[in-house]
Amino acid sequence: MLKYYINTILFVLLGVLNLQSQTKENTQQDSISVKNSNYHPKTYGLRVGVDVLKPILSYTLDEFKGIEVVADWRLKTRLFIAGELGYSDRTLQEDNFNHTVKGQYIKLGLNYNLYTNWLQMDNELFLGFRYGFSNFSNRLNNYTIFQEGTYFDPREVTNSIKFSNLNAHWVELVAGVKVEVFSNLYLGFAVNISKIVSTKDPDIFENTYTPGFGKISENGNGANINYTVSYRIPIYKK
Amino acid sequence: MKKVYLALFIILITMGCEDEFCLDDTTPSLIIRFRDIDTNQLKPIRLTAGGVGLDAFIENTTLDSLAIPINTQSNTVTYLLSEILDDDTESTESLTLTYDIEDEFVSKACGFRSVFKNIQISTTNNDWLLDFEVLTEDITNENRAHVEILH
Repeated sequence: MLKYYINTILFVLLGVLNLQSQTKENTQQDSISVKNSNYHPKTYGLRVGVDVLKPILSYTLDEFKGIEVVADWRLKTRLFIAGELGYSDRTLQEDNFNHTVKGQYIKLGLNYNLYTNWLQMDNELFLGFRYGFSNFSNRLNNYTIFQEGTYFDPREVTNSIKFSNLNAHWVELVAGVKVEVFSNLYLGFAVNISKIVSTKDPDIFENTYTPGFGKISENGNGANINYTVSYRIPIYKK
Repeated sequence: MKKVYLALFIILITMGCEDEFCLDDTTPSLIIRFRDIDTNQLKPIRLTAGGVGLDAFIENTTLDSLAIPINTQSNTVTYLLSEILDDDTESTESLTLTYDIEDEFVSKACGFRSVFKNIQISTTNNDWLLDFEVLTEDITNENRAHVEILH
C-alpha cells in the first residue's frame, strides 16, 4: 500500500521535471520490445469505471440527476481507445426561461499517453479526442417575455411544452491524468473543451444544454471536467 | 510535459469565461412621430403620455417622436396623450392600439420576446389630434416609426 502512495507522489513530482530526453530514449526501447531488459510489460485489458462527480451532484442538487460510465482499452503501449456513456436529467433556470433536458449520450475516441512510466508503473497523462452524440427531450417549462422596463408587467407563460427526439453531435478535445493507486485501480481527472457539430433544435427555441456536452455557448462551445474511478480487468501483459 | 500542463491550465481558465449578455432585439415599443398636418414636417409637441390608469410614462416633455411600451399581457392598449399648452392647461386625446401577439425566441441570454401583428389604431379627435397614419402592419422592431400623428 505504501508503495502505491509513493508511486502517486513520485508521479506528481516527475510531472514538474522535464523528461524530454528520457522520453526519446524509452520510445526507442519500446520498439525493441521483449528482448530489452529495461522494458516492463504493460497490462492489456478492459478498464471500466464511473464518474464520481455525477452521483454526488445527483444526490445534493434537486435539478440534476445523472450517471456516467467510462471505459477504455489499450491498443498499444501509449494508445487507448476510450469512451463514455451516460444519462442526465437537468432542469435549467436561465435568465428568462426555465427548461428541463433529459436524455442519454455516448462519446467515443482515442487517448494518447504522453507520460513515460518508469518500471512497472502504469500512469497516464493523456491527450485525446472524442466524437459525441446525444439523444434527448427538452421541455420548456415557463418563460417571461423579455422587454425593456417595467411600465407594463411582462407576460409570464406557464403552460409547458415538450419537444422530443432532439439530438446533438459534437467533437471534443480531452486532457487528463490517470493514476494507478492500487493494483489495477485507477483514479482519473480530465478536462475537455468541446464544439457542437450539428444539433436538432426544438421548433420554437434553441438547445442551450445537451446531455454529455453541457451548456452550449452562443458559438457552440462547451467545457467539462470529470473525476473517475476505474478498474482494469487484466487480460494479458505485453 | 510543461506544454501539457500549460494546455490544461488554459482549458481550465477558458471554462470560466461563459458569461453572455443580452444585446439583441427586445420586445419593440410603439414608435409615434408627430407631424404638422399642413406641411407634413416633423412638429414637436409638449406632452404628458401614459397608459390608461397608470402613472405617466413621460411628463411635460417636448418631443417629435415617442417610443412607448406595449402591453404584452393583453391584445389592446389605450394611451392618454395630453398636450400641455402655454398656459399650462392640458388637452387630452387617446390612442388605442389593438394587435395579435406572437412570441419568438431570441437567444439564451435574452429568452423570448413578443412581436405585434395585424395592428389597428384608433384615436379620439377632440382637439389637437387632427389625423393619424398607420405606417406598418406589424410591429417587430424599433427601426422606423409605426404611426404618425398629425396636429
